[in-house]
Amino acid sequence: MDVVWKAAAVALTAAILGLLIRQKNPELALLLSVCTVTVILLGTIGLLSGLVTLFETAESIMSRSETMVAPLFKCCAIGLLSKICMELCAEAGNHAAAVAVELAGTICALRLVLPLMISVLKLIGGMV
Amino acid sequence: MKKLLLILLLCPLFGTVAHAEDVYEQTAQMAQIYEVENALSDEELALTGNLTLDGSYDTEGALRRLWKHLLASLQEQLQNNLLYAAQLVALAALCAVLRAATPHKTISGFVDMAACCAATLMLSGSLESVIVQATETLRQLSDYSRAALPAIFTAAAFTGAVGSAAARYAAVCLAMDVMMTAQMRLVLPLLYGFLTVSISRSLFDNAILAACARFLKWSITMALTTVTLVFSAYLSITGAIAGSTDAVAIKATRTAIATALPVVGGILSDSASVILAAAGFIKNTAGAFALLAVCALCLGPFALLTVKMLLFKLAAAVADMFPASGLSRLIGDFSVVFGILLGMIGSCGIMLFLSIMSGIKVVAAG
Repeated sequence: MDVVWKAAAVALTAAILGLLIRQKNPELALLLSVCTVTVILLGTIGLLSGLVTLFETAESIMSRSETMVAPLFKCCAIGLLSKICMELCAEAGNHAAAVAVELAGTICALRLVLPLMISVLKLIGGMV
Repeated sequence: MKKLLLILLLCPLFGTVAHAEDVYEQTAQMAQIYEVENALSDEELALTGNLTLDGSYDTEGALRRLWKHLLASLQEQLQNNLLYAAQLVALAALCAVLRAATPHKTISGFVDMAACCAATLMLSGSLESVIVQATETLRQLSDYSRAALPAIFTAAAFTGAVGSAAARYAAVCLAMDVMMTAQMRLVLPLLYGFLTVSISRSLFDNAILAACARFLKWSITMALTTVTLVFSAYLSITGAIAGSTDAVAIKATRTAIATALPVVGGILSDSASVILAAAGFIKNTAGAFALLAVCALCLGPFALLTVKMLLFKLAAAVADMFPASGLSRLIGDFSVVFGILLGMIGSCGIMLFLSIMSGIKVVAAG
């Protein structure tokens, strides 16, 4: 709960400061946004230990977790990264770059899932 | 006088030994009744016990052994399959957490897709082996029907009900053949179709695929229900038509024998009744044995499919608690597949039961 309060405080402070700085220096405002995102994410990394425990528990239950479960985590990471970058680019006014990042993220996620999908399609083909 | 003495001296030469207690064994050998036992493997014989025709066949003991074997099989399958259910629930929990953590809508859809692919691949080997085992059980039931039914209906014919036994046997053979073929050639491909559509629907959620899956499930259920109902109706009708003629024939034959041979004819007629009664006893004992044999054949697959179906239903219910609807639907569809396989084996078992009961119920009154 503390982390959320701190993240909210940091984000609001950075937003107000960004409003003040943007009129005089838009580049600094963008840099402030990037730093704010970095600080907030670094602050929540400690909470990821629960997710690591979940992954380890899932790995112990599922025998082929590296091939089956790893793509899920990688997709999640790609989603987070591409969403943050997309919003930062949009904030900087570079909508084309935002769309490009989103597209790149989608293609990378699809590339991760493709081997599993091909295996399933081969399985379906075998049944038919 | 001399002639009378000569006849009296020669009489012992025409005497022969009569073993009334060999009647059962000889009738059984002629009807090849032991085929109901020989068609079973050692494991099934250990459950049913050996067929005895001297009245000592322990039906209660066989039922007790079957019950104990069922409980042991259920326990074993539960231990073997709990891991699959746990894997699916773990995957559903993981998928739900990662979807929630993925802000990007399209990519969170890929997370769901990857989870469904992972679940399908994890279960594919087990699913294939279960389908093969179910198909093998259907084949075993079909082979057993070819061994047991001729023996039971031959014994039924020996009871004097020649016409009705022959008519019922012809009806049973035709119906069993048609129904088994319908199951293997119609229901099994539909089942594979349902599985294919369910897996595709979990990856690419689509109203058309959902409608196809519902239609296929309905078709399979209707096919199994229709097959079983038509079979039992056909047997009932055939039995009703063929039942009445044999009693009249036996009565007429016995009257003719008794009338044609004044003293000996009556004795011959009564001796024939003993043989008919022996054949009836053999038919009923072998029929009861065959019913237990069918239970023994179906026991293992029943336990496996029941446990799998219930565990997967439970896993689907638990997965439904997480916001990963595609995965919980896929797990639910897998439990439906196991339920359908259970229904296929159940309907074949019921048809074989009805066929054997049809043979046992053949009675030539009088």
